[in-house]
Amino acid sequence: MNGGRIFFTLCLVLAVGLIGLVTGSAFHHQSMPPSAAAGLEVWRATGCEGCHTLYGIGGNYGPDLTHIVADRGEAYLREFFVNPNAFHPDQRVMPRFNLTRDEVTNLISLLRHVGGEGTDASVVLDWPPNPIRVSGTGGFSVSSVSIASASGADDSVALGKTLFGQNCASCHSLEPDVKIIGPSLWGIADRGATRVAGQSAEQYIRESVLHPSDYLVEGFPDVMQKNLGEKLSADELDGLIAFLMTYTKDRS
Amino acid sequence: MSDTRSIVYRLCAQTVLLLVWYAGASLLAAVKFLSVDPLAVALPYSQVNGFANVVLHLTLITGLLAGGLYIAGLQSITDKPQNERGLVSLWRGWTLFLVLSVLAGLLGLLEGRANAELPFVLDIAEIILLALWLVIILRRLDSSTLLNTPIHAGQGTTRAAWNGFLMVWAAGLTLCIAGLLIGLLPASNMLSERVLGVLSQGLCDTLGLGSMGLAVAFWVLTRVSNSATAWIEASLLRVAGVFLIANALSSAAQVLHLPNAIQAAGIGAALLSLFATAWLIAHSYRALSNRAPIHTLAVHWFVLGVILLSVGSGLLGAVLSLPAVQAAAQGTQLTVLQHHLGAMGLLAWVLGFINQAVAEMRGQNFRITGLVPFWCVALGLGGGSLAFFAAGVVQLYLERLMSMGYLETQAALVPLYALWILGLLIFAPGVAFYALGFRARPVETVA
Repeated sequence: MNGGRIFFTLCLVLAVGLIGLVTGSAFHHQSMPPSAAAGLEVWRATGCEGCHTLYGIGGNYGPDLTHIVADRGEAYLREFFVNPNAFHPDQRVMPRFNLTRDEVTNLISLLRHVGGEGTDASVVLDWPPNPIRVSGTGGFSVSSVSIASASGADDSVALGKTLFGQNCASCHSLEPDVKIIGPSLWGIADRGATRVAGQSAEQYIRESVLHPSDYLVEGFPDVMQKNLGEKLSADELDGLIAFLMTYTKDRS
Repeated sequence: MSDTRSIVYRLCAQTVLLLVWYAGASLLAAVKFLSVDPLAVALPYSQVNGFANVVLHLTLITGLLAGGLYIAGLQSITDKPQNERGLVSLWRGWTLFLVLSVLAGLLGLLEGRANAELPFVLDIAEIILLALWLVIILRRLDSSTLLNTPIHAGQGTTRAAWNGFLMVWAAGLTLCIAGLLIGLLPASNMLSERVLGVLSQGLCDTLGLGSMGLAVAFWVLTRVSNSATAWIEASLLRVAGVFLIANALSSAAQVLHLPNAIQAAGIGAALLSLFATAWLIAHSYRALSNRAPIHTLAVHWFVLGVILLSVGSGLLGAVLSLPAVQAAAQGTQLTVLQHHLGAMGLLAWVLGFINQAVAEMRGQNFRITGLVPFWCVALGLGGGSLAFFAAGVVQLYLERLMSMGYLETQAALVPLYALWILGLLIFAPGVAFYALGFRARPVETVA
């Protein structure tokens, strides 16, 4: 008997058996909700996995979307799918796929299911070990890389400027009368004081960031992220407000 | 020249042509990682990268089919044209499949899991055609010699004896077919979808094509080394066996939903990957220490393949199989690089086989393609991979450990991506030179 061939055959059987065992384990899970299953069809047909990953598997061109619904919210995602070019204009652009309303709904259902919302924990994966953000500075101390002066106030404004660029600039312009998704924030330091009786501009801006749906501006959709209060620290929120308070109507 | 050799040569020519397509597509996909992408909407990354992945898969499988057919053809004790008409018809079917697949990629009809798949109909066609290739080649072989090396070849024997090279090659092709089949299975939820995608890719690419590549590469060793063929065959069987288990464990470790088992699989994969890699290097070194007077560049390509596979599947694969590392690094450029280096290692072996086989078919002990394409490909791949590795490490640190935003991280990586693209700009001309050299030294084919 040829020992080498026997050895290879045994290794082959072992490898196939292992793969078969793991493949079999793939069929012990519960089914997805019908809308999520429909969303999976949209995901495949559109080739989303060519750029994005779910559970870290997929393309390497776009961010991981495992927890995107929790990160951005459904309203933001609906607007994003309709007009992705309007978001992150100076960064990597996602093509528009002309999805129907139902397709968007199903796709969001899939992403919600993947993220574990309202789903049996046995059919989702506890991944990643650390949060993966689409944008933002995460654990970095932004002020340490800013070019602010020695003044603490200037540091706060610089911090706010950076945060605005990372979290707000994709939807809000700082130019007069320029609308992206949300209203222009030119002159917000003055205008904010007139929006709600008894509230200063600072208070108005703070409340708008923490509870975006409370003070909707007429003619604009309710799609702003609802979780900025959790994402931003107290100092970061103060910095963002300090930055926006520099945008008076008289600003040149 | 017999029909068999004619078909082998044509498969080699198709492999080279597909490789040129791949070089162009991969470069076009890579430039999208720079700051400005004017074709972001007109030609999305998913489409062009999917096309590059599909073409690379077709390149490898076509080249490895040529390798298996050539080895089996050499085994023929008589030159009796068995199944030649069937072989020619099968080649024509394969050619049609390749044309349709490339067209599907160019028209953006790719779909499905694992980055990019052919349309369902072409997937089925590929499975059927590969199964037919396997049957046609296996029918040439005497099954009674599968586990026993024949002592005598009888007079007028029309079936060739099995050898270790064909055994590993046939096992690889079977695994590749199985992987493609698993890729078509429906999933009831996203976790199952992920499991099936990972296993499909692992079976087809890593285990299947990997085994076929090892078989062809070790066959090349029998030509370029004076070491006994029996020893090289035995080396192949042992190295291929260990690689099978290591890669199976590595694929299983990516599934991630069976925590304790995955811990064991990941650690096992890491250890076995390193062991198998060391074994491959040791056997290769021993064989090449006793070189035959061969003047093709098969040795160069073989060594390049060993280096790429050792770094990719071996070292990087071992580190990325460790559970804690994998959980953090899954989906970064590091996992992309691991698979990419593995594929490039197989590609180097395919190009080495083409050099050797075509030289033999020409009846000349001389290089078919020159040193310029070899060094362009080697340096382009090496330099580009180094830059890509750096990008992966930075991404792991900034995005996964420091939770910096994906978009900000990618913006910071642009200089490293530029270096990677520079490597591709050296790789692509190398491929073009290889194709020109191949074209300039044709072998007469049967009409």
